[in-house]
Amino acid sequence: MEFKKNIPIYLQIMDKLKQDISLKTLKPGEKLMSTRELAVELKVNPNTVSRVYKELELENIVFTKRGMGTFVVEDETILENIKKKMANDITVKFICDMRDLNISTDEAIKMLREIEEEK
Amino acid sequence: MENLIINNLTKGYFKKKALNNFSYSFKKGIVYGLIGPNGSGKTTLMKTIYGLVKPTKGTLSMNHNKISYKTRKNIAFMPTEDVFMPNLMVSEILKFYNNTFEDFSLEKSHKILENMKLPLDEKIETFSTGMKMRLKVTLCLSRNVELYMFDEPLNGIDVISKDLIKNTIISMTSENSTIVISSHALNEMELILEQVLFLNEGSLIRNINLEEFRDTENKSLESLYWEVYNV
Repeated sequence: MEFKKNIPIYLQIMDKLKQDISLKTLKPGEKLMSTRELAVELKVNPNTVSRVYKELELENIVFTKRGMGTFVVEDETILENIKKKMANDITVKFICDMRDLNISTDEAIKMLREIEEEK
Repeated sequence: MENLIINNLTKGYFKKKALNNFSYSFKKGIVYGLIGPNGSGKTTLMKTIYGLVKPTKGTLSMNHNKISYKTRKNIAFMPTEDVFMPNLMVSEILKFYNNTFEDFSLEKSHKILENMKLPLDEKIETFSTGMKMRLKVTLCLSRNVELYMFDEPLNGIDVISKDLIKNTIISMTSENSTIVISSHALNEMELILEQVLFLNEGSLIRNINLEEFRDTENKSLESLYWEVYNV
């Protein structure tokens, strides 16, 4: 995983895990790697990964079983919500970027359609 | 919890001050970076903490014990210098360390050696610069102490050795110990360090938590470096 070095690392890891969970690369109920294993894999500080797991737990996306590790929740509606939230964030960013270019939402939608037809 | 407390530390060599009124308290469970140009006092600071250099002024204590040769029992230090006899085998060096340090764990050293992809039964004279550095880091981490200090562990070595050293340090972090690393390899270290201390002419000129810094300033460690040293 490539990190942007000017954005908090824990946020970037959270986004990646949320994406994996919503796309079911990480399945409902699946056990996550231990913080140390994930830290070594991503080459980041283990405390950063601990923070990721804590924040995801606060958002009810993962849960901890004492002495067993951290798991993805099994509730499909929560997983569906992550997807919605992420799609929403991308849309908001898209609209804001377009506005910065003085392109109205209607025009932006038209552009989206045109590009889709080309592909 | 704070374990290493430094107050108003000054070290002068004749007229020049290698350390100038340095104060800081280090905590357990955190990986610290010491950053600064050559001659900014990083090595002198580590050597003073290890009890090799006597302060001119100021106090240092580890768990309320004044720093001396006694507190060295709880500190592992990897200096930049090579200290091996070239005709020794790795296994003999491990044995030597095991006899020298009560807290040295042979079992742990074998595990780390494997992580570092180093052989037990080869002589040091056959080792590349990168392999020697990996061995030095291994010896330091094989002790069971509360404070580990590495002076330039990524300096002048190949990419693979750097990667192995970084992975090993990450996997050996613990909430019961403090790790202090001096480095010029900002790009390579910035995801591993949590707290970064910037030194200049022996003084602590800036101290930041990297994640907080990224959050509030949206900048990388490297861009901060240019800003701090104003070059």
